[in-house]
Amino acid sequence: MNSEKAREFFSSYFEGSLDSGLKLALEQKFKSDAELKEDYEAFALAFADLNSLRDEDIEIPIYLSDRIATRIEEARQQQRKPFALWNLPWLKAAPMYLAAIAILGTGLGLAVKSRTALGGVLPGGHEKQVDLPTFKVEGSDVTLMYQPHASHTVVIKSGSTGTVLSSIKLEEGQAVEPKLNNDNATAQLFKIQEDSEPEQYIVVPGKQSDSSQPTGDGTIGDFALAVANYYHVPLLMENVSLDTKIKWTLDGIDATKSANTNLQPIHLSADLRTDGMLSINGH
Amino acid sequence: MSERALEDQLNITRAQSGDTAAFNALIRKYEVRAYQYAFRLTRNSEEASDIVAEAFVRIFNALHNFKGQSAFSTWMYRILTNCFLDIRKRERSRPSTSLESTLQTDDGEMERQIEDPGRTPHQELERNERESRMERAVSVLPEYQRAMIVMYHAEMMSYEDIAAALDLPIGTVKSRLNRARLSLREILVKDEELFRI
Repeated sequence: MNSEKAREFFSSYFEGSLDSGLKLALEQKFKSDAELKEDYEAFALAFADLNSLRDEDIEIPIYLSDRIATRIEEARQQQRKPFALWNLPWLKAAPMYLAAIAILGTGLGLAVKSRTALGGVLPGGHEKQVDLPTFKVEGSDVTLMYQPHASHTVVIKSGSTGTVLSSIKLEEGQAVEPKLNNDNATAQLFKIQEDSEPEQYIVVPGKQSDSSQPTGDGTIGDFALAVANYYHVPLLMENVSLDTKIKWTLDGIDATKSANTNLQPIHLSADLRTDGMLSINGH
Repeated sequence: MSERALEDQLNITRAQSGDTAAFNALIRKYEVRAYQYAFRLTRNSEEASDIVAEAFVRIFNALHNFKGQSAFSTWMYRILTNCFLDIRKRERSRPSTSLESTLQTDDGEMERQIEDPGRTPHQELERNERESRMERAVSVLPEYQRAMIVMYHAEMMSYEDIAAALDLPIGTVKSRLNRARLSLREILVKDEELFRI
């Protein structure tokens, strides 16, 4: 057995899995070749030290889950088949399109699109029986993307008047995408209610940004509208009482930083989601 | 079948029929493990996160083809390893890559540069020096050897599982792992000599 061949057996010898004949031959080689024996001892030390790799404390980045969810949502979007209106069962489609027609002329638009649902993952890892939507921001429009795995109803209301803009019955496996678009000059607030879930509030910016009013005081809803007007960014509010009072001064070009400066005294926080929505969360 | 494997099988079956919550449950269960593996391969949190996200997208796209021939985790390691190798391949094809930073060997490309951007020098000093040296040594192994070493020694996978994950005969896994350990020993010896100077 030459030294090179002997080295091929180092791991098996260390692990005790070498058959008895080879083990004996290797041990005899060690006796006659001090350099090889020393080589093996260094190998054995390295082998033992390798197990320390499993003890390394690896910190998980806080953005990891969001990154995975975002990438999977993108993959899900790519998997979806193009929707053809004439393929949609009329009875399912009718209430949605009637709802869209009913709110024309208010300056607020809501168009509902249905698609054949395929499997996918909701960012944020919602596991509730009621599927909360994911969002797609295009310009100043916000599309709510539902991929329900249980039938339930979504009610969309005007935040300022409480008027029901649309009531959409979501069917299991039927992806539906109501789009909130705001043709007004200034931002508008929408309330989204899904069965017994807490209300979500969405602020859709208007057609223009308005930096003339950086300061103000009022409710958290007023603040969200001010932020949307000032920075021209859509907002999502969850687990927040709309009546919470706040005084604000908007400053700088970073909407998230500016919002957080104002929210901190009332123990709320804001963060910019990967879909482009500025999220205000009551934790 | 273990309780863990049964739970995975249940979630996989549900996810295959379009249950998003079941797929989310699989992600939540394995994302940390996947990240730890990817980080040990890359020593870079940003790159490791990209590998994990890409791997879960591939899992999502291919889930309907998963028939349970191996454990879900074994399949995941295979996809993670492929993502890691693909990303490195893409990086190498970029014109900005420095030719001086790599060295070709029989088992692939070995990095000359040792990087660990995840820690400050102060934190690095506080760590056990032997562990630290070992991590550095692993990070300069050729990529395929590195994956095997991490699977066996850090992820504590059996030779059989590594063979299944990399689609190689067990004998090949054992001989390549032996070669990887021999390379590591050489790197460590050189590292020690460097410190003595």
